[in-house]
This record gives sequence, C-alpha cells and structure tokens, in this order.
Amino acid sequence: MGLEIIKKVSSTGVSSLSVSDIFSSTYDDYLIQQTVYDNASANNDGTMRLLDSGGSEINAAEYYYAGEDTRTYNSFTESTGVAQTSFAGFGYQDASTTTGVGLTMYVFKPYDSSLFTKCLWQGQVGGSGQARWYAGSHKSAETITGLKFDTGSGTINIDCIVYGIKGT
Amino acid sequence: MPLGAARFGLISGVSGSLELIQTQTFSNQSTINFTSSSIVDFDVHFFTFNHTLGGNTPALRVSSDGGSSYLNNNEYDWNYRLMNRRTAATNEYRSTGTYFLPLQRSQAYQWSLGSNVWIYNMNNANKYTHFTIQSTGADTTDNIAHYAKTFFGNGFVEDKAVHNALQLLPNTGTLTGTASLYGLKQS
Repeated sequence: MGLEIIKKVSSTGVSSLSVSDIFSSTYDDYLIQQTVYDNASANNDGTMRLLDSGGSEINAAEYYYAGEDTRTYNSFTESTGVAQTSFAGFGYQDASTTTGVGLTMYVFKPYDSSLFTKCLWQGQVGGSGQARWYAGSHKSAETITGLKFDTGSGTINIDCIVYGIKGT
Repeated sequence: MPLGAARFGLISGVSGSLELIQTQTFSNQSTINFTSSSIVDFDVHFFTFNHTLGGNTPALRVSSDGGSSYLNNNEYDWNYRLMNRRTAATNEYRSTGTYFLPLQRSQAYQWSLGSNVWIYNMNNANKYTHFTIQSTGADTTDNIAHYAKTFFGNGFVEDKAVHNALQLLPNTGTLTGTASLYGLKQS
C-alpha cells in the first residue's frame, strides 16, 4: 500500500514533455510531481493536455477548470476555463531562471472509460513567487493513458515523476 | 496514524515510495526540530502537522547546517489564500522578509489545525526549496466567529543550498500536537 513510483522523465531545452503509458488498470488514482521547470528561453505560462487510449494528445475543447494564480509580488488572480483546449495553470517561469519549482497534482480515475478525468494541482512554480492552485475536469468519458505539458512559449528544462496511489 | 498517512494508505510495516523519517508528539513546546540524517536521502518531503491547542501561527524554517541554526533573515517568500466559513470572506496574504512560512493564520482561540505540506528540492544545492501547503482549522470552542477556515499556501526559500533540517515553531508562545516528516523516493 502507499505510493508506488511508475515513471520519472526529464528533458532539457524542450517546448513540451509527453509522459505516456502511465495510467493503467493497476491504480485508480495518481500523484504527479514536478520539481524542475527551469532555464526558459522566454517567459512562459504552461498548460497540460491528456493523452487518449492510443497515446494521442487530446486537443478538443473538453477541458474545464477553476483556480487561482497567487503571487508574492502582486494581487492574486482567479482563473476559470470553460470548453478550453487544455488545462491552464501549470509551470510558469521567467526567462533564464533556475529556481526549480514544486508542483503536486492528483489525477483521479483517468483509466476508467466511463468517467471524466478529474485533476487537482497546486504548485509554487517559479517566476519569483508565482504559485497556483487549481482543479479541473476533462469533460469526455474515455480512457486516458498519459499527459503532456506544454510551455506555451519557448523551451524549458522540465521533469515529471508519476506515482500510483495503491489502495489495497 | 499520523495525519496524511491515511491519505496514502500507509500502514505500519507496509512500505512504498513515501517513507516516514520521524514523528514527534509535543506539548507546550516552542520549537520542534527535525534533524535526522536521512532527510538528505530525499529531494521531496511530505510534512503533516496536527495542532491541538492554538493562539498563534505555526510555521516552518529550514536549516543548512543540520539544525545548529535555522534561516530567519529575508529568505522566505510566501503567499496564501485563506477562506472563512462563517463570513464567506476570502483573504490573500503575501510577504517576503524575515517572517517564516506560515501554516495557518494566527488565532486567539482554542484552535485545532490539520496541515499537510509538500517540500521540494531540499536536497538540491542548485535550486530553491519550495513549499505547497493545505490546512484546515476549527475553533474547538464552537465560537462561530472562527468556526472553520481553509488555507492554501505556497512559498519558497530564497537560498540555493542543501537544507538538511526542518523546524516547526509558532510566531509566539508554544505548540501542542503531532508532526511527521516523510521522504518521497524518486526511483
């Protein structure tokens, strides 16, 4: 019982990171972490999409979310998305910054083809005090097998660690 | 079972990627230090805190010398959202400076608090140590003015160094409760 590591991936100088074949019938729920989101070639504001049963990126307008961008240096900003083509509120980094980040996301029952996939994520994501806490649902009942982070602008050094939450 | 252990299905004697480093139970104590040598065996840590008697703001500090001293001068950068059940008000707080990272807002009543904290990059000398926090608290006297509050917080330590000890402390007075520190394996 507990958390069991499934996969750790990292890459440098990339505009996106696909993390494929991580969800399966072995686990219901997952914990995903990111500790590196550095050396951006430009200021950026990251997004995330899910991968379908064949490993293809889902870019349909099926992402719904609500959250808040919090920051030390300025007022907070609420953020909502209805029928978007990705989840917002992931990595954020100023250009050429190497602070590291800390982000944890819970993904609930992504492999169950009868349910929407739900996610909760919270992170201190870099950029001198930029942080987020969000929840979202992929409004299409289908089997999800992975996910893909995108910087939105420029390249980044990035990592991702996936754990299965083992109940029994 | 420490707060948070149930969340991940941890039962004594059953292992996983989340490993208990230390649990401390304390009463009327001004500082609670976690200085285990195994802290540096992990890059990511999970910290849980159950506070049973309030009147102050519990917070965290880190050390880069094994707990001989704890950083306390302009290294902490944090922001958090606090939601109040009775008033439905939400407040945002943010600060840099000498204040340490809070786990919840100060309360002048008997205050029961549960917190969980993810701590990232403590063992990486090239990155800042980052925190994400979720807490909930309740007034144990059922005072409706402070009945329940929810807290989402984030922050980082503006100090690129290996941080090998963690300190839990209140802004004033003492703490009573239980706290546990876990390490999360990445391979």
